[in-house]
Amino acid sequence: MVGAIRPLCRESQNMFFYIINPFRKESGKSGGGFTLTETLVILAIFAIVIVGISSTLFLAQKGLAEGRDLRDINHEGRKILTRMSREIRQTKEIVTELPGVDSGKDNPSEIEFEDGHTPSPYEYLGSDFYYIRYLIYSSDGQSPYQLKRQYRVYCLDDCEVCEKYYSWTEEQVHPCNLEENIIGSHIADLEFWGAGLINVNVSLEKGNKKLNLKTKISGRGL
Amino acid sequence: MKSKQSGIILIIVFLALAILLILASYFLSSTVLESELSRKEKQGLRAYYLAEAGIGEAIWRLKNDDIWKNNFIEDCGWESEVFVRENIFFPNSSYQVQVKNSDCAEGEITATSTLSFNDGEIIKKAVKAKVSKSLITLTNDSAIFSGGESQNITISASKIIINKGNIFSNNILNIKDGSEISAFDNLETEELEGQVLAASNLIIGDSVLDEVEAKCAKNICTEKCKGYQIGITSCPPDSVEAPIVDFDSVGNPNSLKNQAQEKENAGECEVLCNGIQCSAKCVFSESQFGDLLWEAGLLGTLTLNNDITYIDGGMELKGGQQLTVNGILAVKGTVDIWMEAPQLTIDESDKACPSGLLVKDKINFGKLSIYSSLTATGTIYAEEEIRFEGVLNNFNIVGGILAKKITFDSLSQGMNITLDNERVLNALNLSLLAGSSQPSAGYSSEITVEDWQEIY
Repeated sequence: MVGAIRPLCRESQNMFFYIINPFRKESGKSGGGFTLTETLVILAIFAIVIVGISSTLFLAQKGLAEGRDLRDINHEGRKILTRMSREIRQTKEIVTELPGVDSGKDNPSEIEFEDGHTPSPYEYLGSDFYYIRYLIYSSDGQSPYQLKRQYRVYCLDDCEVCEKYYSWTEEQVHPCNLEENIIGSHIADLEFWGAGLINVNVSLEKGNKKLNLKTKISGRGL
Repeated sequence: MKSKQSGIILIIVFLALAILLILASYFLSSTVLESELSRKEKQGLRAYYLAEAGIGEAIWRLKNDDIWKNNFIEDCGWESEVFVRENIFFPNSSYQVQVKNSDCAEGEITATSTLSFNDGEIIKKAVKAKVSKSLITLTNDSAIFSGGESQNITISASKIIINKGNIFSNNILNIKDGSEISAFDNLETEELEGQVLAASNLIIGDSVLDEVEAKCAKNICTEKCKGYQIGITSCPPDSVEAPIVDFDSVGNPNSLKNQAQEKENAGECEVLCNGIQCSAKCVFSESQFGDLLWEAGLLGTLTLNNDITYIDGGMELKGGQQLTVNGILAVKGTVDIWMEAPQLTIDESDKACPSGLLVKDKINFGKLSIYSSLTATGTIYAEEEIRFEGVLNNFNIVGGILAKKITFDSLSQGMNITLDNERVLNALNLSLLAGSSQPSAGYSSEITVEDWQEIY
């Protein structure tokens, strides 16, 4: 095939072969191409540059992923605390017994309280008492957890047939969930404590990024 | 030729490497930037919730710290000391909080948080919240209130709609003869309105009270009543005496008569007969006021543009007479609004100005009349008794009705009352008899947050 190329194209043809194989020796001539040392030096430089570039790209990729993780947990943290604060701020009564001071690992990781917003989304049921419960959950009981929000009432009858609703303080009543939603994820820890002024500590984790947010909320009716 | 070819390759290779290096450094720098932004956002978020903690603590102190609580309510220009909490959640963190009152029981909380880092970086966030406490009235948020010696309310063959308020009888509340009562809660307040309350029994005979929030009396107790428990059928509200207005005490410069006289002496009185000034007085005898009504004519309108108009006797509005009161009309005797089609309009657009009909004896409204009309933006108060009778054409009140005894009879066309506590209190606070119970029982223990925002 090479021999079929017209003479005018000869120079271009040499150039082509040089590009695809720059180390070849041209036939019938001595001293052309590269020496072994030159070739090795070029290969070494090339390898160093490639390694440098690829590790830079890898670092950039890793940094991007970590940045994305941090953004995700920032977003989750804000979303969780905004919603929780808004609802606790309106509450009239806390159902969960909370320690007065920070008790570390003994702090409950869930909170239940009376919904203070009116009208309730389930106003049509005619109950005077609606409750909200936040709790963390994972299928294996290990971190990271998801945050569940339950909206509930208390009944004497079975939940399926319950038509009359009571305060949680009434005897023999049990909770019936009207809805249960997952409203947050990547949670490493959730803690509540404080009497009157509710302290909230939420820790989030994704990849090797961590975020810890703490605040205090004063319930309107507390 | 060969060396030229080698040079080209070298240039191409270096160009390619340069492009790759530029790309790599671009990715790296943007990653570093992104990472820095995310880190800043994280610290900003922590600082924001730290500032919110400051707001939460300030609200808690306004409810529980006696000094703060009293200053917030009593000192309309109060500015709290700035309190600082350090290292409360994180090391090298702090927040400082201050409350500034804009009025009594109304103010603004400002909380500023600071997070300091080892490299000298400092992050600050500030959050403001407007807070207030609402007034609790002695009248139990009641649009219709009876509290005194007779204390009963009787509603017969009448249709009454109450918005944002309760009905309260300090004794027996008797609803009978096909009456229909509706009372609705004010969703803007924490307290439950729309209740039918009787300190003694609530008697319901052949009447409908389906659309009320609660029925609370000695003989009935529904779910939303205060103190309700399963199996309990009695939860009457506490007994409440009505505040008593001082009409004409000589020694009290704030009695209604003395206040009206003072306005008259200051030349601040104007009475219009069909739009033309026909008097510059604020204090009238019964006959003087009767003459003015006749001067305006049977279908004419008498307009009182006085802050307070005082009649030292009774008042009769009848036939086609029309009376417009832009302020307070205080009457020492009995008020009869009756026969054919009289019209009484009480109108005060400025909420801060007291308005209403305050009567020392009785108000009889509607007897022998078919097309009577009452539109009132203010308080209808009688020290003794108020009777509403007959078929009324137009009956709307924004304010409240208070008396020792109240009777509604045959208001089949319906009566609408929307409670406005501020107007009730403004009218009653104008002049209270020494020793009278106060119309306002203080402020709610709850703090209402009206606005909450980050400031920059």
